[in-house]
Order: sequence, then structure tokens, then C-alpha cells
Amino acid sequence: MNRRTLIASAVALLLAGGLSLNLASTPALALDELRIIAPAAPGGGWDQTARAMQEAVQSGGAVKAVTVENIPGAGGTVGLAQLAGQEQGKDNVLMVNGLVMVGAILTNKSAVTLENTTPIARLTGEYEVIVVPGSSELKTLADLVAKLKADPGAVAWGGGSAGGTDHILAGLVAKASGADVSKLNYVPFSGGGEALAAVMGGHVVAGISGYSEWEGQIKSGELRALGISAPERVAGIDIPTLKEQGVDVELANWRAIVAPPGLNDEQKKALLATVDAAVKSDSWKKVLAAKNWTDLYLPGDDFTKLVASENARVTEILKGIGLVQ
Amino acid sequence: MDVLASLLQGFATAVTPMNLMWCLLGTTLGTAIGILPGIGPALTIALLLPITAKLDPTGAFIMFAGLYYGAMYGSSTTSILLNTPGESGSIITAVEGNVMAKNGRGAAALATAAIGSFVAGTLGTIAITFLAPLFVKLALLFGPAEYFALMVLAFTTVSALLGLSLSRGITSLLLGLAIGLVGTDVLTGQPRLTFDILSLLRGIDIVVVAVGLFAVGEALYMASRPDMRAGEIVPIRGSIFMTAEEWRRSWKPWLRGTALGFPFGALPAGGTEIPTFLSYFLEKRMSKKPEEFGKGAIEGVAGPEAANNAAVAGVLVPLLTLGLPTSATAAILLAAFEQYNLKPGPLLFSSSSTLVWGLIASLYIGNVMLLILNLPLAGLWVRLLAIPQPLLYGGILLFSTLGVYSLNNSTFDLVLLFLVGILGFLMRRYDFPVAPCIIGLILGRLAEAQFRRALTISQGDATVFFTHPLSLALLIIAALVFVGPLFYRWRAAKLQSAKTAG
Amino acid sequence: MKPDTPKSAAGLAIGLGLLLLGGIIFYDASQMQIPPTYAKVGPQAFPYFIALGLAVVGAYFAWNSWTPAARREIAAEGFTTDWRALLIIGAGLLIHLNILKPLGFVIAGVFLFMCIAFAFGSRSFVRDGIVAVILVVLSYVGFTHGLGLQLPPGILAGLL
Repeated sequence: MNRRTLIASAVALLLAGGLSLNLASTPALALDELRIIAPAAPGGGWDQTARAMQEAVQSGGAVKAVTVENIPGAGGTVGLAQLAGQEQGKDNVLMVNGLVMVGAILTNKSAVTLENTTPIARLTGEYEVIVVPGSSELKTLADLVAKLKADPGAVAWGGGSAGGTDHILAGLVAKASGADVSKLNYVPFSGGGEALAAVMGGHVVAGISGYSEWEGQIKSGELRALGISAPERVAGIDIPTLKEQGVDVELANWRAIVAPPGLNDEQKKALLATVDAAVKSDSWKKVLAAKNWTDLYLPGDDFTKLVASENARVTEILKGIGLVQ
Repeated sequence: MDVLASLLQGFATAVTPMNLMWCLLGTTLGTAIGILPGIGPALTIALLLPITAKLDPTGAFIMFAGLYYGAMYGSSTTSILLNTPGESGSIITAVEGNVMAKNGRGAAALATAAIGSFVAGTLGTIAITFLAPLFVKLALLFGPAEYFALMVLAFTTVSALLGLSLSRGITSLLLGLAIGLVGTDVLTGQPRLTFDILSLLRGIDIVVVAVGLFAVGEALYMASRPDMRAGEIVPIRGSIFMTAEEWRRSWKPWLRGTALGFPFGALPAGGTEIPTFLSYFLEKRMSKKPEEFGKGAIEGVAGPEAANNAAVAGVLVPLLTLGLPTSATAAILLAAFEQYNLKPGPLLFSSSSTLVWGLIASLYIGNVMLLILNLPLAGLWVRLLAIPQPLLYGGILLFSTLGVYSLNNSTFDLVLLFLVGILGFLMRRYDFPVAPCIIGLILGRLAEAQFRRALTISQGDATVFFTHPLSLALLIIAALVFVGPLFYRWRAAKLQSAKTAG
Repeated sequence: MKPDTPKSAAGLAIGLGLLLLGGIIFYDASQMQIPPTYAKVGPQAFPYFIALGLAVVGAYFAWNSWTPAARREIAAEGFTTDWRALLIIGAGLLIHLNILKPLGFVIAGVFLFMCIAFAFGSRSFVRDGIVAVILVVLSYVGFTHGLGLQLPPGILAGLL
């Protein structure tokens, strides 16, 4: 009996202590430390962006300690919910996000949207390629478009997750070429490897992915690239754009950085200055070159506008596909 | 021969003191993280990536490959001794291995696992060296329809793990299938069984379920049974090494496990778990004493452990030759290649032959290192069983929660772990086998996704499963595996009745 | 072969629990919005199948728990159950996950370890404490400094 009360009181003490101590530990001085949330598992694009940013900020010496925190799940919306919730108003937290999150918010019917963040800047991006197996009878984008128009169901597209960038591009291409978007036959695969194998093995008609992921197979001729979703030809990539082949679509799988909601202008400016300095550092430039990321730096209000326009475009196409009601 | 010359060149690269050190570091670290549930090679390599960016790529890859192999060696240890699988590829190992440990044959189980892993790893590496192009062609033959047929075949193996009671085994399987439903549907992005909880959208991780059912469930069950706690476990009964009998019973499963595991690893959606199920099933079927399965049959450790290591070797085939990642770890390795501006694929062998052949040579060396590291340790590891229970279970739960938390840095996963742990406790208490639940979880998700993918591509035409020759062949094998035993039983019964009548 | 029947009350509970689970899965699937798909087999088909299976085994266990045969073979009897130890572990796990972030991995880990050891009957608090601190501090330092894995530092932030 005695022992039991002892345990109970010890537990109560621990709990009470936990609560009060938790309240006492308010964030330290601004930019004494900076946390960058990567709303994905270690290793992926968002995580790599967060870690590159960590290094770039640290190299400038403006911030003492920069840490990366991974909060994976549901296309980044789990991390987004935390940013808009418990991190609200904190001026020493940043989160990486991107186009994929725009789609994920819609398909997951997330209560928290990008409106619940303080946009800082778009950082990098990657263009998407449309490919067919090297042995395919489809030689050009025009061949694919013709097949798509004749019978959208006959073109099984292989790519990444439902509602993701690859899926969105397939929808945009179908729409721009005048095919029925609601009849799009898109097959989501989990993980780039599976989609790649399905395309290479000829199990699907066409495939969509970020260029760098399939670069090796395109160069070796196992895959034939029909078009790239860039606004104009990219230096060093010998693939015609979709636009120049008469399909008026451009899409960058952009990655950006945002801050929690509830910041005043001053705090926002300070964070933007930190990011701006990092993007201009040698460390960042080296990473861009090493990883072949396209520099799409777009800070401040222009970025805010971009998010709004992308949101409108993605919403329309996902509704057309039928993924979002 | 060209390959041999290149391989010799590779050995020259791999035996430099620096590279040997990287190999040793990788294998040791791999063994350590393999032991910890939840912390696997994919996560570790991802976390090491930024640190290794400044290293020479050959050294870094030698370390990563050692780590990958090492994790598979290490994960069998806790499966066998503590009934806590460190990686999902070692779940089946726990079924027989832990019973062996409780019977005082833990050291033998660890030894057969280590030697089996060595045999499989080395044969697998030989296959990478000489047969890679062949397996790559095989890998590309598999589309969604073929995968679905393969899953059907894998499902029939559950019958070896159902335990004594059919209804209880099937219930366990259904629970696993139900847990697998939770999360975003891969094909349409629709949430299923998520109850508007954001964290459930990513689904329930296999690690959470495995650790919950095995480690937490076991701890709760042991705590609830003072009578079982009183019985002292004798770490070693009989010889510390494998007996002649145990050797005789192990070598064939090692080879069969390797033959199953390697091609599976090379398949883009193969993985390390399914070949372990198939291997267990095969060994039980081929055994002259199937009744010993479930009571500590060494074949049930030897086969699956060889299978998971061979699968790891298989994963490297499409990765190196096509740049095709077929597992989470392979995807991270691909990111590592990119970090050094290397593009895996057909061109890699010519453009970076020093690296590729150095890596392959280091796989041979790494396997020898792991054997040397793990075999003497087996005798030491079994002393873990002599640790007083309060400290042992305290440690198990400490590392289980640590591993599960670090999956997503989320305390929500700890809530799930707690709930699954209660389920595991109840299943033990009321005699439901836990292995079918894990199999249902792993296979259910895959089977459903591939089934629907195949039908999407065929625009709803269900005959694809029968018109694709490979898919048809796999389905026929599955049918034979399923019907075969029934037929035998029917014939045996008929003979029996004929005898009694005559 | 032993008859497939747990203790009647437990069997009934198991049966009804499985039926309930099947019902929840069925309801969840029926509420799904189904996007157009070429497969003709949507995201709801597989859940319906599993719900049906659970209902069948649930009904089987529930039905069997009423038959006299059930009383012969009892799954969870013939031994005493240490409910107190179970409760301590359960509470320990729950408290641990609640204090992990605020107090940090080190304190939460030491607490969990000692709690489990206590539930398993250990009363050597000093020994348990020393072992716990060593294990927890070693893994904290190894993970955060060796691998760069973020474990919550809690109130001991900056100390380790």
C-alpha cells in the first residue's frame, strides 16, 4: 500500500514537473539556433534540400546551431500541421516544402493549407521528362499525343504517387493536347525504382519522372525521352521541351522554404535575410552544381503569388482527373 | 576472362588499408544497427550521407555496402535471442530461432544464421559478379500482373505458419490485412481507416507492428506470467557450437534459401521479407520431421537467414547495372551515387570500373569479416539470456521505443506501438499465432496494389493474370502448392481405408 | 488437434471484438469517395473482403463460446495472471511517450527502464538506475553525435 502511494506520487511529480518545465523552456534568442523541418524521411529531395540549407546557413556563421528535423508523412502535410500548430509564431523555425505538398493538401483534404504558413522563398526545382521504352513504337511526342487523343485509356502512364507531380503533369499534358482528362489512365507506383522498371519492361506505355532520376537510362538509350516540361531548352539536356512540340505545358517540381504562421514583418524580413545570405553562399552554389538542381530562387511576394497560381492550376487538374471532388 | 581480371583489379582496390578500415567500420556499424529494431540500414546511410560527402566515393560505398550486409547479420541476433526482430527480413527467424534459444540452443541458432548469411552473401556476390545481366532481364519481365501472381504464391506459404488452429491462424492473418489497410490508398490517394488522424495517413509501419507484436507483446505477456518468469533459461544446453546433426540439417536450407532470396532481391518489388516466408515454407515442406517446426527446427532459421542475405545481394544487381533501386536502402544508395555525380546504370561499369569492382570485391571481404565478427560473438551473445529479466526487458523496451520513435520522430508511433503491443499480448494469451499477422500486413498491401495496377493497365480486363505466361505459371504453381497437400491427405486417407477394408 | 475454442467469456469477447472490427472496416469503406478508375476494382473492394472475413471468424468464435465444448479447453486459465505488473508496464509506456518530448529522451528513457525493471520484480533501484543511466546516455550520445539523429533533448538540452 505504502509503496503504491509512493509510486503514484512519484508519477504525479514527474508529470507535474514535465508540464511546468515544458512551459518554462520557451525558445531561445532569435537565430541563436535555427530548426529546419524536412517534412519527409531522410534521403529524399526535401531532406536533401533541408540539409543543404543547413550547411549553407551554418557556413555563413550568422546562426550558431542549425538542426534538421524530419517529420515524414502524407506528402508533407504531417510536417505542415506541426508548423502551423505548435510552431506557430516562432521565428527560428523553417520548413522545406514544394509542389508535391500543394497536391497532397488537396488529395488529403488537409485542414491546414499553405495559407497557414509564412512564405519565404522558392529555392530550386527540377523539370519533368516524359519517356517511353527505348523499343517503343512511339517515336515523338506527337505520336504519344495522337494515341492519347484516340483512346486515353490505351495510354497507361507510370509514375509516382497519386496526385503527385508526375500525375499532375500527365493531367496537364492530356488537357493541353485536347484529350479527355477524366479518362486519364495513370498508374501510381510506390518509389521511383518500381515505376522505372515498369517503363523499362514495357509494362506501361509511357513514364513520367524528374529528369535526374532517369537521366542514366535516358542517356544509355533504354528510355526515350519525348519531352521535358521546362519553359525553354535546358543547357546540357538534349531533350525538346513540350512547348516547342505544340503541347503548351510547363511544370517545375519546385522546392521552397516557408516559416510558421503568425510572424510580424520584422521577423519575416530577418528570416528572409538569413535564407537570402545562404542562397548566395558558396556552399549553396556548390550543392546546386553537385546535385544538378536548377536554381529557381524566387523570394518574398513573388513566391507568395506563385503559390497561389500553382494552387489554382493543381486544383483544377486534380478535379479534372477526379482525385479531388 | 575479362570479369576475373576486373575482379582481381577490384581486390587490389579493396585491400588497401584505408578501404579495409571502411569495410570493417561499415560491417561493425551495420551489425549494431541491425540489432536495434526500427533503425535500419536505409535510415543510417541517409544520415551518414552528408558526413561522407567529403570522403572518396570508393571508401564510402565500401562502408555502405558493409553496413547493408551487416544489418542483416545483426538483425538475426535479437530475433533469435530476444524474440525481437531488428529488421523485417528477420521476423520469420524469430519463429524457430527464439524457441531454439529457449531450449538452450541459441548459440547454434546464431551460428547457423551467421554461416547461412555468409554462404548466401558470398554466393550472392558471386552471382552479382557473373550473372548480373541475366537477372536484370528477369527483373524487367515482372509487371504488376506477374507480381500479383507471385503474391498469391507467397500467400499460400502462410499455411506453414498458421499453427495448430486454422481459425486462429486465419484470424491473425486477417488482422494483419486490416492493419495494412490503414493509410492512403496507393492507387487513388484515398484515406482508409484513418479516422481523420493526419499521422495515420502515412500508414502503420511494418516495424511498429513487428516490434509491437513481438517485443512489447512478449514483454507484457512475460510480465503477466509469474510462473513463466520463475523458470530459468539455460543459455547453453549441450555443445556451444553446432553439432554434426545441426550441420547436416543446415547446409541444404542455406543453399535453398540463397536460391530463393537472390532473385527476389533483384526484383524491383521483391524485398527481403517474402523470400524468408517462402524459404520457411519450403523447409517445412521438405523436412522429414515437419512436426518439429514451431518447436525449434534449425532449418527454419538456416533457410530464411540465408534468404534475406541473398536478397540483399540481389538488390545490388539492378542497382548497379540499371540504376534501379529495389529497396529503401537501394534508393538511398542511389542518392549517394548522385552525391558523387555518378550515374548507376550500364555506363557505370565502364566509367567507374575502379569503384564498381572495388565495391564488389569488398562484398567478398565484408562477408568474411562479418563471419569472423559474428561467429565467436554467438557464444557471447547467448549470455544475454543470463541477464536478469528485469534488466533484459527494461533494455528491450528502451531500445524498441527508441527505434520506433526514430522512424518518424513522432510520439504518435509510440501510441501505435503501445496499442499493437496490447494486441500482441492478447494474441499470446489466447493462443493466436503472431507470424501470420505480419505476413498479412506485408503481403496484403503489395498484393492489393499490384492487383489493381494490373487491372488499371489492362483497363479492367481480368484475363491479364492468365494471358501473361509468367503470371499464369506462377498461379499454377500456387494452385499446386495449395492443392497438393490436400490431394496427398486424400490419397493417404484412401489408402488407409483401403487397408482397413482389405 | 485441439478444439478451436477459448474460454467461453473470453471467446465471446474475442468474437464480438472481431465482428466490431469488421463492422468498422465495412463502414469506413462504405463512406469512401471513389474516383473513376480503369481497374473496376476500387479502394473499397479489398476492405469489404477483409471485413467479411473478420465477420466470419468473429461469428465463429462468438458462436463457439456458447457451445459446451468451449468449457473443456480453456486458453487463458490454469495459471495466475499478474495484472499489477501489466498495469505498471502499460502505465510506464504511456507516461514515457508523454514525457519524451518535454523532459527529453534521457530522463524518459531512464524512467521507462526502471519502471519495466520494477514491474518484473526488481527492487535493486540503485543497480537498475546505474544500468539505465549508462544505457540511455550511451545511446543518446551515440545517436545524436554519431549519426546526427535528433532525439529530443528536453530539459537537459545543452548538457549532453
